[in-house]
Amino acid sequence: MNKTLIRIACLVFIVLPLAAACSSVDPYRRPFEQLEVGAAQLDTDDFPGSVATLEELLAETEARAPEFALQRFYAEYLLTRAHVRASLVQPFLTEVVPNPSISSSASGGKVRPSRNAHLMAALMHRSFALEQREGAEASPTDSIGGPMLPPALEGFAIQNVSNYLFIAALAAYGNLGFEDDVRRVVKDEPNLSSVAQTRSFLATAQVGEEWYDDVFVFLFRALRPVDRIEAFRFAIAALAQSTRGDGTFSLDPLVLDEIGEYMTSGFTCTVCGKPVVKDEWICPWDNSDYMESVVEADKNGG
Amino acid sequence: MFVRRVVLLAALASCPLAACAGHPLSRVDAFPQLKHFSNRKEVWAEARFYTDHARTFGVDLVADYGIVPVALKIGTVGEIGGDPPRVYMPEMQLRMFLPDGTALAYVPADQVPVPQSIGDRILKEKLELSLLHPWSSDDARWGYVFFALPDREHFVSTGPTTVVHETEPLWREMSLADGLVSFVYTSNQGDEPVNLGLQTDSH
Repeated sequence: MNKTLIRIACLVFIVLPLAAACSSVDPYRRPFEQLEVGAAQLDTDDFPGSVATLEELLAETEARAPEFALQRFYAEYLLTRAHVRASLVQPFLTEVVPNPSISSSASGGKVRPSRNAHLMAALMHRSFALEQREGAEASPTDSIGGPMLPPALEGFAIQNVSNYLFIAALAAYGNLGFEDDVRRVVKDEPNLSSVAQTRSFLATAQVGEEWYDDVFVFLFRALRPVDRIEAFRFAIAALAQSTRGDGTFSLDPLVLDEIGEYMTSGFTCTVCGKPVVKDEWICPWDNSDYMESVVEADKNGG
Repeated sequence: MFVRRVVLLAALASCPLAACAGHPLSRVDAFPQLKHFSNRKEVWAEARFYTDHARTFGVDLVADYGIVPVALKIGTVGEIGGDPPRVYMPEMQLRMFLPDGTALAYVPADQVPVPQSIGDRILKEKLELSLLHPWSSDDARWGYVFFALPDREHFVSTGPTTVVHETEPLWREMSLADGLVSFVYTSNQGDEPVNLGLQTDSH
């Protein structure tokens, strides 16, 4: 009798609660871990690994997407970031281009890493992230098992993620040559209208400083037809940002030529009145900062 | 292929979560419309995807052969200083991209894997390019270029413009009209890249 009672007590107080606990495992735990792993892989430039981990998260939560809006929003953000960075650092998606040495009647082609493929994927994930934003904002940030986001993401607010998504669009459109779209993005985001504001915006979006010169070049090109002076300032900022310790520039030589040609297209230093000198951002005649002291010659009666 | 399309279409129509089709499926609904024309200094280019291209070729090339036909027109604009810009089909590096980053390789018109009767139509409609002519002249003409879906068995056509990419772990339904066409032309400065989205159209 006693043994039976003990068995029943064990069943009621130990086995059943344990079974109940197992059946109600925190559903947000696995996405939490996937976000943690995906973010760490991204930090070490393991782009294929990061994409695989985060795509898995999306696949596993697709059927109940609204419940996982916060975690999916951050997954889409990390995927956007992974593809933008892969396009710039180490593309792993590929494209096939026809081999010019092969006649048109023979098949064949050359497989090569593809920046464009990554930029398209980045635009797609950015779109998904924007779709999830509202749900993410309405979502609780904690579940019964604890926070839904790993520490690496918990401090990166939804607004800052959105700032990054702006920059991702700018990088994609800029690299693809869609300058009208860069202009549209800039118009939608007033915090990208001056060099100082842009620097601050890039910092909140956790964009690495090594990409600042690219962003400045995109903004220079986008503003060139609509605001020549502000475009000039972004060109100067790109030059200054890309200067290496030995005085050379990390910018592509063709881009340097493009900037140099623009700098010498009618701008003068307001301090000494002399024409701007190509590839300099400090006036060699009076040491004034071109960022602050430049005007177009024709608008100054020059 | 036909049976798979029917099963997939039925699943997409009846199951809002799509997971019951066997795989989680995500629709790329909000992809930004990419500009369908490109003005790179002296060259203007436009690309179109005709939803009723089957009327031109007598067959749905996407659904039946995994071939995406894109109508392309390239011409010069403005004053051309120095040597005019040039294109040479084998060196144009033509390729196409879908929103998920899938790259489609260019297939010369005479290599599109179709029966001869269809092949004849393809040859008749293909883009002929040698010299670039002024955009507004009669000599600058529209013509088709063709791109092959890679791993064709993993793509299923689900509508006039849509395909499902059956990739692991997540299937994605995308519009071909959201694609990007890329190529280069040669100018005095060297190879100039051109990227353009697609305008959806019908005859």
